[in-house]
Amino acid sequence: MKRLFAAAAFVALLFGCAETPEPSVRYVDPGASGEVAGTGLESQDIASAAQKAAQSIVNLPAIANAAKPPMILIAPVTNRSASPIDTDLYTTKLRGTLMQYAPGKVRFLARDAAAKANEREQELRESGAVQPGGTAATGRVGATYDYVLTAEVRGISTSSKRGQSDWFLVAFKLVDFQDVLLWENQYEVKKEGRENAIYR
Amino acid sequence: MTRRQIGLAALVAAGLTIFSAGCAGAKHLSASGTAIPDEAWAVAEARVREEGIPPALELEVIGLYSEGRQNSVLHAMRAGLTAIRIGRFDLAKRFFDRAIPEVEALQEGAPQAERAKSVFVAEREKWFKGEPYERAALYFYRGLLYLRDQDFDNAAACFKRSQIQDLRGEDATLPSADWGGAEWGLALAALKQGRPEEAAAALARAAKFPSRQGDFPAPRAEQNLLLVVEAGQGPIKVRGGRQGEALFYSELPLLIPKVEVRRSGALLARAAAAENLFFQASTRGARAADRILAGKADFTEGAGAAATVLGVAAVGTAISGQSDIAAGALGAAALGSALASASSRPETDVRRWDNLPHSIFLIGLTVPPGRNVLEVIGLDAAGRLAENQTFDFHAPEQPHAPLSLCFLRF
Repeated sequence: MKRLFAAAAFVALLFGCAETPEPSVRYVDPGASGEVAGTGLESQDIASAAQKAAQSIVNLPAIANAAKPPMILIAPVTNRSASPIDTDLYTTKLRGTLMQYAPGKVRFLARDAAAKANEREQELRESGAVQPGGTAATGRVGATYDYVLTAEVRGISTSSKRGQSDWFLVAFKLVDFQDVLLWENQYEVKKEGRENAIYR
Repeated sequence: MTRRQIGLAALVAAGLTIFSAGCAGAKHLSASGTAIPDEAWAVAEARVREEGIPPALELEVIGLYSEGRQNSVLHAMRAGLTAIRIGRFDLAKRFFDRAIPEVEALQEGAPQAERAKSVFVAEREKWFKGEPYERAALYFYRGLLYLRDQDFDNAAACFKRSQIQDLRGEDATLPSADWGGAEWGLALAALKQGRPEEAAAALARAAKFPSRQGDFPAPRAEQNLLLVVEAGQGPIKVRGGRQGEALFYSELPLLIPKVEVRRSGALLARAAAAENLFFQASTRGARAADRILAGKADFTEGAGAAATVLGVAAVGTAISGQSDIAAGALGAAALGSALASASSRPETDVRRWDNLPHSIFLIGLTVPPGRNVLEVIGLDAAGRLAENQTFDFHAPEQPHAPLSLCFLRF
């Protein structure tokens, strides 16, 4: 009888007080899909598209046959899709991936990263507060670019009683200083997912 | 009744007592009614203090940090909206951005979601993602915060996503994706990006929505102030049906159907609500979850009825003295059915984003640089003053002044 009573108590407590502890911290592969899986665009999607774009760009005759590696300005990623994304983060990821996959073939202008600091440094040099090490006496001359690389995310998103679908188009354009479109390429990502009936 | 039957009945009664008292000793209960371990609560409390979370947000954020994914979205939604109202936009963004991936995470086949379908597990134990109107509101408010940051790309994305989340059931007579406020926000974001055609298309869609509450002025590209006026209390989820398995919405009527904005007595704008959240919630239609809960309710009633029939049969058999073994078996079956009925959890989940307003007014204004004293007047149904608020807005002097947002609440 005692054992029966204990079993009944155990079952009752099991049903009565399910606890919800916070999951402990763990390392995960940044390239892997997260545990919180939706149909939105993720950083690895941008990285994958950027990798393909980099490979395509370095094979362009204007790039491959250039006497010296052309300078490219990467414009901030623009988002015209129905998914909010961290465009700054994606721009950084895009630049990092391009640097990795197009080494020595092209150079990238990081005006967003360093222009302010360089301008301030130039003021200090002109005032004599700091000494330039090998800089021309006429002062700093910032580099300019040969090409602008733009990346735009567009998309079509739908949801239904069963789930959700997101199609993204990541469109890259390489434009020269005369506004001539040198190259354009597009990468598609489509994700579909079903929602559990308890949420529908 | 034999001694064996009396013993069995006593055992079951003891079990039921323990069952009902299972959580009585818990100091803190989650929004799902489950016990929060003291240690988890203490850790969350310390983290809240360490992060300098304002007092108005403390309880929600402790819930956010201590209740795991079961209620993280719920607490993040509530905390995010409170953070907006106290001017902590940094925290509002942080909390909403924490909720969004969870809302987007699809749960087909997920153990926690499958578990919530069980007749012995209450729906409120599933990870909260909110009903469509709550998910749409999450994106709507996040979109407003992107507008405030002049990130019109992502603001537009959020307003589009708001519509995608606004789903209705198969039996609904109204179309899905009819958030007028989201189309208004999308139009403003498009105008700020120099895309008037996109803005016109959004406003044309909004003009046809059955959810439209009245006239509200369209946004314009040159506007430098967006006034977001929240009024009334949001939809209240209530249980109905035989076993509490049906979800209904209760409304605290809106006392301010129109808002006016004046500067030095001069009328700048008059607008009806751009969004009525009670309308959005209560026109959702049938859910797939309703069928699951109806099944649970049927089980509860079936098991209860079986317990009664078996119990009567057991007593009859015992009294007639036919067979102790048969009476015992019938009694055990009756108790088993009674336990199954008592343990089933058909009640619908009524956790809700409880600080949402009833309605939201969106009023775009072009105000001159410098100090502006603006009076916002809430009008009743007869057009008489119901409430008013005055606030100072200092418009920047720069030629291309950024869009400022002011949030007010009636």
